[in-house]
Amino acid sequence: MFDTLFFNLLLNGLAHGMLIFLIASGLSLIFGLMRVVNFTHGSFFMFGAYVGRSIYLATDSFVLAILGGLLFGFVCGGLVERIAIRPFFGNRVQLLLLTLGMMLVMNELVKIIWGPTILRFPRPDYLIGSFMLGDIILPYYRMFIVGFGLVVLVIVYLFLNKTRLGITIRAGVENPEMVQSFGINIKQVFTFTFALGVSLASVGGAISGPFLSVYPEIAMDNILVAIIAVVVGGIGSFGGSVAGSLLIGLINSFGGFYLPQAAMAFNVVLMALVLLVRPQGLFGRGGVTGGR
Amino acid sequence: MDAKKILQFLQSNIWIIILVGGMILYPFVSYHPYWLSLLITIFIFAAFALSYDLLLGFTGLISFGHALFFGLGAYSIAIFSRFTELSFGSMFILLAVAATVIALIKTAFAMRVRGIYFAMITLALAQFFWVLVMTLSRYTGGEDGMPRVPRPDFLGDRLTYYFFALGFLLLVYFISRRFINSPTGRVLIGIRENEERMVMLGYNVFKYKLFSLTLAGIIGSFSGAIYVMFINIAFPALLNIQSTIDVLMMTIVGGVGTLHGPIFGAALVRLLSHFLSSHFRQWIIIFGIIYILIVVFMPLGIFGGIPGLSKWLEKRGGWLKWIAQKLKP
Repeated sequence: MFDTLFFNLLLNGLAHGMLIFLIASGLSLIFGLMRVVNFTHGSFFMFGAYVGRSIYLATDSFVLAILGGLLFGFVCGGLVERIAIRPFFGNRVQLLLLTLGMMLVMNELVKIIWGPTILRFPRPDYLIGSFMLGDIILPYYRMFIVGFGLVVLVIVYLFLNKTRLGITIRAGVENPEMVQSFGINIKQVFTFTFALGVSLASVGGAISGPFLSVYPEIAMDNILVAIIAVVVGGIGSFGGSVAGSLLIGLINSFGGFYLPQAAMAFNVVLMALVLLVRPQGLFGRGGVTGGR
Repeated sequence: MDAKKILQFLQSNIWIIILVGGMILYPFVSYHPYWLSLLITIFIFAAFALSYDLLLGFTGLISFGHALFFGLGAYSIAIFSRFTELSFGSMFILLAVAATVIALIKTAFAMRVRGIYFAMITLALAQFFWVLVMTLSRYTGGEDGMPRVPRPDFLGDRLTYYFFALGFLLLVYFISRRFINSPTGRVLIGIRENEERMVMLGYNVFKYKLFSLTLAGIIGSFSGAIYVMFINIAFPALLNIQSTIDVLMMTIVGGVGTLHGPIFGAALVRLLSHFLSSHFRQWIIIFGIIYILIVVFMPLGIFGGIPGLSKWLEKRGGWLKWIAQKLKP
């Protein structure tokens, strides 16, 4: 049971789960706070991968590629919120259809800029190779993804729990009107949260590049998986998005090995079961499913 | 029925009669196989979009998995005709039963989760069937699909199929119109507007949602079946998310919550994608921009915007007022 293969699949699943987490956490926060299903999230993940790759090839610095992905996501996320989301606030169906349209446009735009084929994203020298633990081979890059994901997880957790802005965001998830009545400019909080969520997805894309390669379909594949992770974990719950993402990542890794092609079916069955037994998700608060 | 009533019926349906008349006459005026094929697919997708509008526009259920029904129809015909000796009539009966069963499952979900959660679960259900089709390649051909789907002998040539598809669309249109204007349809619109109120008034919401989903499911799966008999191949893309996005766009562009909107939207989307795809490789981006503009500036779609347009024209007065009166339903 606990042989080399098991640890390889475990590490693979955790790495994949961390990438899903980087998309899902922003998606969940944005939906929880603003009630917007942001379909462009997967597209920003994809754009992050392309932008990160271009920066890396131009500067030969992986750190700059990561920072570039982060900054790109933050600026674009903020712009999208101000231009495309804020004017339609309160009309959920219109926003849903709008982000769906933006997703289509972004997924085509990337083909115009970088072409429709798979691009290779080389790893930096210091992340090539593997760590040997007895018989177990642990590739550095996968460990790096897991480590990076953990660092982001801790930072976002501390931000949401220890800073004034983070606490405001969590309060907004519970009750935006109440936050506003305390004299806080909730619209600015919305813009910031949207930009933060998008930048997490985009930096996730940048670090996923050397692991998954870079191609346009990663947008659509990942948004579907991330939505499933968010629904399973519980919309609006940060802990839920962590649990949901890691669960889905591990299911994909183990299921994909023992029953290839059926991995997606596992995800879907898991989501259907969760929605039937506990519609608010594993970690969600009760009473959120009505009328939304 | 006396002459006066007939005259009244003709007068109130004048646009439909002109349009249908034109469509009937068209193949005799210019018989071009290519345009005929394009029109056939428009008729089929119009019926499919109409079935989607029954859910989105008239019941208020956002489904992201409507392609499931379309794919169900397509693959049922393909699989039945390859592995069984069933007649086409019994295939369609079995298909209707299967669509009803799936509608029942979806209704069970719709009673537990609402809004965006329902959208997600329908999306997941459709993706599940997509995975199933990809995985069970011994029966479904996997990624390559199932070629050589037969057609009934009496629908063999293109011209007959043209009238068959047109007839199917007309049937779907009149059934939907009758359904929407029936007391049941009124209750559905009530559910769309305020579900809690309908529960309070004592309506069995489950029953009405089941009606709506079953009708939409049967129409959707029949359109898939008629489409696959025309193009002669069933392939997985018919039931994945892209197919749902297509039908969603047709409905939104044409006008959600109207009966003419989806038909008009299907025609517009098919024609536009036909013209754009022959000129630009990345035509979807232009399409996406047009779609975004419609969502932003005409949220009710082209047909849904007509009452607003006629009001605006009426204020201008003069001959514009005359147009405004003509536009009124």
